[in-house]
Order: sequence, then structure tokens, then C-alpha cells
Amino acid sequence: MQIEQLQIFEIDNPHQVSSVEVHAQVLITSWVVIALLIALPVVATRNLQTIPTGLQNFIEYVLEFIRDLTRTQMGEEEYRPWVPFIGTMFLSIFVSNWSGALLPWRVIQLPHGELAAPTNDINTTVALALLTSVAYFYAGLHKRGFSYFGKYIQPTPVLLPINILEDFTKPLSLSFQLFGNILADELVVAVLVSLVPLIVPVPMMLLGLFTSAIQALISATLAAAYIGESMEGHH
Amino acid sequence: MERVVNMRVAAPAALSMAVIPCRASSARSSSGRVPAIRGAADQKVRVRYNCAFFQEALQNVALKVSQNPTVRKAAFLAMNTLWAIPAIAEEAEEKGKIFDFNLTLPIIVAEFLLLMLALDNLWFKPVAKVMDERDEAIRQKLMGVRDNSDEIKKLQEQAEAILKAARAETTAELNKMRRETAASLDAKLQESRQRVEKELAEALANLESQKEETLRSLDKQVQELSDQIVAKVIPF
Repeated sequence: MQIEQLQIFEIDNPHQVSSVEVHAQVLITSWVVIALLIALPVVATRNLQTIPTGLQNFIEYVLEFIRDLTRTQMGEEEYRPWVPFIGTMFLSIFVSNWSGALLPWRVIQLPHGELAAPTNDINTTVALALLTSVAYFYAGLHKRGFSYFGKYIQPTPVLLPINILEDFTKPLSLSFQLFGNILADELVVAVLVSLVPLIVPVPMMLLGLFTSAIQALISATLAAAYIGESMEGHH
Repeated sequence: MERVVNMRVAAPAALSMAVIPCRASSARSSSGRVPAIRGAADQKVRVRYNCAFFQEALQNVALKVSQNPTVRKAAFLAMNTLWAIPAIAEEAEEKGKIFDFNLTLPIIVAEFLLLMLALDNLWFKPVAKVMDERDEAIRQKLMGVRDNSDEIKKLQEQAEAILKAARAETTAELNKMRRETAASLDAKLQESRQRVEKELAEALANLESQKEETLRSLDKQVQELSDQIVAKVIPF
């Protein structure tokens, strides 16, 4: 058969990337998400006009939304430089989650494992949470210099261990809420589909769309809140 | 030829034209695993479906591709790469840990930072520029409108000043005219009064003289009458 001639020799001894492993399915889906996120503005900013219509209207609305989110958390004076970071956080998580729920990934069969939302992998969510941590540390140090470390004894020195613990729990909670939400939603939908594939999983899928959108918003808002808090200090 | 295909999302999948390798013999099982639940029995509902239609379409494409040697080589390389990547995933999936940290994490970090740079330059900066320019233009127009109203107010004040001056002028004129006419009327009145008085005096004087005359004539007549009466009364 013609197709069989095109089917390639699979690599039978899967090689590793320098003896460290990689979750390739996460990389594949994240590339698709990145492609979508880059294609949208490229198409929409072709012909920017003063009176926006259609797609330009949509991307302006999204930018306005992200700016408003950042401005609410960080204040009017210093929100501008952080809009790209918070925007990318929000958009990447949102598109990842919705692509996992809406795109028919399971049609493409992998030899092992399967394609799904990139945020259902602990690596992705911990990566985003660590980026947020680094971001708010950087924001605090950049703005206030070494007096940033004064915030650890801020209300009273008795709370020093709690403040230090907070630096660990913040990324932990951020990563786990996203990971748990997305993975659990996928598992529930998979189980429901394996039991009753026709109508019953649909409400669960809709709920999944809703909660995954909320998760994107929460991650972005919390990131902005942490950055804003570390820039202004505890007052 | 039938093929067992597991579908997770029924509707979109039915519409998608994905590559479905329908091989007669396959060393690999087709069951997709629910992640992180190892050893779960493969008791999924298997949807049997006839993929002959898809096969035919793919055969046509394959025919066209395999007839052109360069395209064929390119397709060969492309599919090679495409299929090599998931093969890398094999090794990791064998472990089945749920907290499986590996090189994926820094790769995702790098991807996020590159995405941030790309989005900033492709989306946030141009769109922000357009939005800010629009805001500026609107603000300029509003300021322009406010200036016009100042001019209008100035013109209004000028008009009112002119009106007031004109009104004052006319009232002054009116008063002057009124005074003049009153004066002339007064003069005329005086004159006529004097004339009248003179005439009156003359008339009175006339009457006086007439009275005197009549009295004198009466006197004479009385004298005559009395003479007559005496003559009559006293006979001799």
C-alpha cells in the first residue's frame, strides 16, 4: 500500500537527550499553543486602523483586559513594564487549557503517551510558578534594593519563619492549583467518556472550559498581585 | 478494513482530517492510556469504525506525493522527524510517576520567555501604540472643542457690550430730545399765556373804561331823569 511505503521506520531505540528525559508530548502541544498565539497577532495587526473592526477589535479588547488586570494589581505608576509578562502568562495558560479541552488531540496517536493540554504536566505548571517567583523577587529587588529583605520582618519579627515559608508556598500553591485543576478535569472527562461517550460528558466538558479559563485568570492575577505586593512592600 | 479507534472527543474528532495510520499489522496497541493510572484495564468502549474512506483519501495524497521524487524525500524526512519526537516520549512514559521533573521544565521556561518577547513585539507594542495614539487624538479634539467655546464667549461679550453702548446712546438721545421739546413747549406756553394775559388785561381795561363811560352816561341820564321827575313832581 502506498501509505505503508511512506510510513517510516520508527526509531526503535529511543534516544534520550543527553541522558536526561523530556516529556515530548508536552513540548509538541506547547509548540502548537505558541504557534496559535503568534499567528493571531500576526494576522490581526496586518492593517491597523484608528477605528478598529473585527479581529483588531478583539486583540485590542484582550490587551485592554490584560492592562486593566495588571493595573488593578500593581497600581497606575509601575504596571507598564509588567504587561508583557502577565499577558503572556494569562494567554499561554488560557490557550493551553482551552486547546487541551477543545482540540481533538487524541486523534493523533502516539506510540506511548498521548497529547493533551500542556498544563496537565507538573513541569509546565512548576515552570510557570517558578517564573512568577523569580519575577516578584526581581521586582522587589529592582525597586527597593536590599531593603526588600526587610519585608521578612515587616509586621513583627516573630512572623519571620512564616514570611520565609510564604516564599515557598506561593509557587507551590500556584503550580498545584493549575496542575490539579487541569489534570483532574482531563481525568474526569476521560473516565466519563469511557463510560458514556455520548451526551453525559458534555456538561463536565463545559465546566472544564469555564474552570480552566478561571484558572488562567487566577494565575495571572496572583502573579500580578505578588509582583505588586513586593514592589510596594507591606504597609 | 476496520480499525479500532479510541476517541475522546467525539464531535470535533469526527470532523478532523487527521492522519490515521491504518496498518494491517501493528506491533503497538492502539489503546491510549489514561495518564498516571497504570495497569488500568483496557476496558474502554471501542468504537469500531470504517476508515476506508480516509484511507482512500490518504492513498490519493500518497500517490501524488510518491510520484514526485523530491516531494517524496521531503515527506520522508518530515514524517521521520515527526515520528521521532514521540519516540523520545516513550522512555519517560515508562516510569509513570506523577511528579516527574525533567528537562521539560527548563525548556518550558525558555519557551515562555521567548513567547513573551515575541508577543511583546508582535502584539502588545503595536496595539498599545495604536490605542494610545487614538486616546491622544481624542484628547486633542476635546481640547480643541473647549477652545472654540472660549472664543464664542468672547464674541458674545463683545456683542453685549455693543448692544449696551447702543442702548445707552439711544436713551441719551431720547432724553435730549425730550428735554428740548419740553423746553420749547414751555416757551410756547409762556408766550401764549402772556399774550392771553395781555389780552385779558386789555379787555379788562376796556371793560373798565366802558363801565366808567356807562356810569358817567348813566349819571347824566339819572341827572336828566331826576330833573324831569322833579319838574314833573313839583308843579310850579
